[in-house]
Amino acid sequence: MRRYHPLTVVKHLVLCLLSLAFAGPFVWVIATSLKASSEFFSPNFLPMDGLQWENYTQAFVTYGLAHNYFNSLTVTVAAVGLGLAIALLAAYGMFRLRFRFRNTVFVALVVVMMMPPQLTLISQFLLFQKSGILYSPLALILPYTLGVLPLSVFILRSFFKELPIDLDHAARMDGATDLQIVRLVLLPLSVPVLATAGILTFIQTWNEFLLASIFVRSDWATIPVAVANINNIATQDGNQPMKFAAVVLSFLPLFVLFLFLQRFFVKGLASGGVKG
Amino acid sequence: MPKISIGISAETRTGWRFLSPAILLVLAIAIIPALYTLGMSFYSWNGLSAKWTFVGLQNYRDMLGDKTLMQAIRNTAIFTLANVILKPAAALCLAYAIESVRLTWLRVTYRTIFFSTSLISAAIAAMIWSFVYEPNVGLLNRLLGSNHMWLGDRDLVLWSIFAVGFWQFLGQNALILMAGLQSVPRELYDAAEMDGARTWGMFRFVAFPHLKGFIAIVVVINIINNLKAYDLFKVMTDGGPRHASEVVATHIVKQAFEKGELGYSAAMSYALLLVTLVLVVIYLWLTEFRKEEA
Amino acid sequence: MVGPSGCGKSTLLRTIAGLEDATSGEIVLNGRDVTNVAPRDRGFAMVFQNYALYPHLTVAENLGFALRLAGQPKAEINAAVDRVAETLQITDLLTKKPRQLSGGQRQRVAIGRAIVRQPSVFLFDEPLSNLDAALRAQMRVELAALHQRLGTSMIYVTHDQVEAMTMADRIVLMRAGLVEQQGTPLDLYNRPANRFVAGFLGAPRINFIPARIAAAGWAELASGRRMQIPAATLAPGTEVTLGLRPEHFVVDDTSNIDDSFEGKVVLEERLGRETVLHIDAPDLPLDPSEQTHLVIQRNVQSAFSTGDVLRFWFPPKRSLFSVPTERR
Repeated sequence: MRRYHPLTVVKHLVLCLLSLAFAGPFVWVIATSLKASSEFFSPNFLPMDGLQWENYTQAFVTYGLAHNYFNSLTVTVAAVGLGLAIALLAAYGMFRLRFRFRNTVFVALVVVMMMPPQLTLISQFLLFQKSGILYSPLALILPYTLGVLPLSVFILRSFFKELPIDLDHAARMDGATDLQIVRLVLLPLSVPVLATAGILTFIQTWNEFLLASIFVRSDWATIPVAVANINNIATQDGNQPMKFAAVVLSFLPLFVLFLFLQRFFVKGLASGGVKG
Repeated sequence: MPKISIGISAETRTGWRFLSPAILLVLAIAIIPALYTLGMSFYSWNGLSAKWTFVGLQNYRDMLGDKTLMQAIRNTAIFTLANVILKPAAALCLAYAIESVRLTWLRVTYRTIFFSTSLISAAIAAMIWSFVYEPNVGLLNRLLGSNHMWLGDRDLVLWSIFAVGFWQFLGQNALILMAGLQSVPRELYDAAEMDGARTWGMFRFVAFPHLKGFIAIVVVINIINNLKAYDLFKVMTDGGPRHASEVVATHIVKQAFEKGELGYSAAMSYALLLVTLVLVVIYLWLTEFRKEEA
Repeated sequence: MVGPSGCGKSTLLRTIAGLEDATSGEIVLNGRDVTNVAPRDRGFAMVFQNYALYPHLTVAENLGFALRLAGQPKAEINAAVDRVAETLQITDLLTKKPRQLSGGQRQRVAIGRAIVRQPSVFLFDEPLSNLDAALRAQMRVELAALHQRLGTSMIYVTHDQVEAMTMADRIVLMRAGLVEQQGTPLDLYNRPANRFVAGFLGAPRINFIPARIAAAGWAELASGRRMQIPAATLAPGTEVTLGLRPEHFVVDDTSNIDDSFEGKVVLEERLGRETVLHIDAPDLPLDPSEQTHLVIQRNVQSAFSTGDVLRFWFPPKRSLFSVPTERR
């Protein structure tokens, strides 16, 4: 029989308990979301009166979460798609050409990333109001698109550094314009890194709360804001487990996405994390 | 090869063309609003009336006498410091522990569980933990058999919220550090083993020096995110009870949208940006400085 | 174009290609000024050192890329691609991706990509430096044959003087951003304009001997010995450097001419057909900043070994010399 170092045993014990503690809230929320209203205050951990799937249909249909899914998807897909396109063009300009102001522009981008949202919140509100896009999905899409840029540019930067510049030059000799170099050579090669950047920024955008709670009304409310609203309403209505169901519905799609695309996360965080 | 060019080359001009969509967006959505906010910070304005009163630096001076702001700064400082020191330290241990798990499926399972918490919206995390902290039916009090007011106790509330942030982003911090650990060349471990290093020696002399850059990233991410942290505080306590969990981010929004002190709110957001910049620069300077010494 | 790495030969080639902006001067092709013409309108094709094949395209798509950009119909592109693939014997590779190819195959595809366009000038940027020695020798021959068949001008950059000597009709030898000399390979080898050119071409390297003009046709060495040199119009007393090619020495034990020198073999490189001897010859003092031993090449399997003493002389009409006022 193999003997284990006592430290190894302790390590496994701690990891095991800690992961239980981390998963615990999720499990508990899911369990509670399937309880009947009447059972909410009982000390049982698990639902005993049968699984109340109606809580989910109620949240999804009666409280209109379906519509909020549509909102979130529209806003997020638009912002991520637009953001990636703009980031690819910008990354070409900065990192594939001999661009003299590369560092200046890059530092500006980093500072924009550090800006607290409160700094621009009120001014954006007023400017959007004046230009008439306040309360339209555009009021979210524009700032979210900006939010996609920093991480995407970081990830493209480390990818472009590895990619031989002679590829661009070969295409140029073959008669390609700058735009054709991006479209026919760099874009197809960047698909994996763009996927990584896309997934990471998709989640960041999907989860945004502050702007979503101010720049649009309930007709364009996204999932986090809608769930927060249901949270308030359900407490008044006395249907407690239903708000747990709404919470589960909010994180379920992201978990599914993560389970299927896990390798992109690991790679993306690694390449976005390595500076230099 | 050094490039000397006179005037603006064709490539730089093309570069500007390709950057123009990004620059336009940054200008319209970030720079112009930020400048507008800067202008606003020199005025007194309630957001509704057409009357802007120029007050110069009065808004900035007012901050010194704002007791709630001082409380908020104190809370933000404690919260950020805890996040910048405790979280990366714990994440480093976690990353090292997970990476040393031999069974691949177990390692992936751990990674998945710890990282999954960072996938959800901070607002949703706040809701989940509001349920967990609920004094009567919440999970925590049920498990402990107690009836603590986790979010109602002035001495406890800041740490209760810290725990949520810790729960949410420990795995993400650890994942970045794990990427760092994986980038340590295998030969370095082999060489250290040949030199007779034990587990601790491996960590101290092989892994840790290699990880410095990754740790710096984690710390900077934590500084930036925690000074901005708003959703957690907004959803869980909205600064209460009696400002015990007020942070600068919530204070700024309240001054603007509840009190109608837009000029004052603008001035405070600039102070916050300045603090962020200074902290990040100091931190990077410290780490760069140490690197040169080594 | 040949020269040591960093001498600017690649930059010059890229300037000709239009990938770098010319800060001054002009680039003229057949009397047409193309200095400010975009690369795609110059009609040049380029082969890169690391091949720069498009990794996401098949070999056929790589070959046809330029024609596709030019908007040619599919049928014509396919015909042109097939023709070129046949010429280079890569027809069976057409459906593969670059990463499935060996170095030599990639090189062929890169050359094919240039040929397809029927350019007015080919530009080669160290195209063979990533290949192993045997393949390099083979490709050298094939490129020369291709050049003859196509009859198109080729500008070929290399740091390898063997490639330059064997392949070029004309060599441009560069150093530190400046052209040192241009001409046919044998011109440069036999009549180098200066000491740098003499030293760069030829392996084993030329021997440099500091000397002073004693009288017309005679130079005096640092050891006091005199040596006969080709008559030149330099005033007696002028400091010169003699350049003696290793293969021109005559080893002759029986000779007893006044001009012969004596030396001890320090090291011997046997290359098979020929032998390179490193010799310590006190009578023939070298430029110590260049080399420590005199180098002699013999086109026979030499019988000498380390420690042996031998006698040799140098045919006077063979020595090259230059005045030391050359720019460094």
